[in-house]
Amino acid sequence: MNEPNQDWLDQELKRLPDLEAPPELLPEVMRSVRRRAIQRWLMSICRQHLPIIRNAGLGLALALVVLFPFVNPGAAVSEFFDRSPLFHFLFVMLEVGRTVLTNLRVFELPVVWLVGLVAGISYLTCICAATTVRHLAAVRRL
Amino acid sequence: MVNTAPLPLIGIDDQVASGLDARMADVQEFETFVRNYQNMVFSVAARIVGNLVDAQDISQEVFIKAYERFDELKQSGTVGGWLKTVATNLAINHLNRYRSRWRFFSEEENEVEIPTVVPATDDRRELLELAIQKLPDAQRVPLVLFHFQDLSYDEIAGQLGISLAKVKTDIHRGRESLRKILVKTS
Repeated sequence: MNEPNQDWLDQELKRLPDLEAPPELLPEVMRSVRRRAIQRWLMSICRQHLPIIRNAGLGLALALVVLFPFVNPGAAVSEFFDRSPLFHFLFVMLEVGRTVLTNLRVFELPVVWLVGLVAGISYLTCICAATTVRHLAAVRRL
Repeated sequence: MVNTAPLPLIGIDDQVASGLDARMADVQEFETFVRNYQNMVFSVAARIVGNLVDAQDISQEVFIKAYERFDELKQSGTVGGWLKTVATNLAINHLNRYRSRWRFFSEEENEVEIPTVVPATDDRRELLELAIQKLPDAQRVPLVLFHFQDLSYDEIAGQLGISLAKVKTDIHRGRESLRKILVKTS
């Protein structure tokens, strides 16, 4: 190739054809477009039949209000927990834990006190350690 | 006398089906539209961002925007111009958003290092295309806007938010860099 001068460069740049788009561009665009088309169509249906949808929703809400005393959802939930073996096991384990903590004694003190004391001391130790580290880091930065 | 002729009612199902058919016909028409313009949009994006993968994402975004306004665009006589403008804006936004090495807005005055390693090819046009891609952003973008989008210096300065003098310098440097790359690889 000869050394290109400015005119040559201008002409070449003008004559440069478009790049070929990758073959996956069209399918990707069309996938998004189809999804949007369906969304738009659903929205238009909703908009067209808004009174029907609104009335159906209102009817359903009224039906639920009427059925509420008969179904008694609170009792249904309670029954569900009672019947579930997993929740039953959890309740039993919690009960065992509570009994152990309140009845067991170490050095004439209930275990629950000792557990509380250890938890409190651990918490205070963590706070002190974090404060010290932060203080040391600040001093080092200075 | 009672009229016993059946009432010309259209059921909801028919309306729904015809609505979907209309949408799908629109989609078919849009597919032809994308086929016609995909190379142009992709070229604009690729030459500005200098990266084919990013250019594909930008092209996709351009066509999604075009679909949102397809009803207006298909009746418009300036579809090509609209697509070019949107592709240019999105490509420039992309560069601003994702490239920390972008130097346009810093009014960088130092000479930018030009990479001269361009893959060897016999095709002169392909070589030129690769050389454009290898130009630094600060030189490539004004050069592409000037030569391929036919924007004036003033318009480029406005679009990029830089001074007129810098536009002229960058385009000049871009051309020089392009010349150097082509000479070195020839």
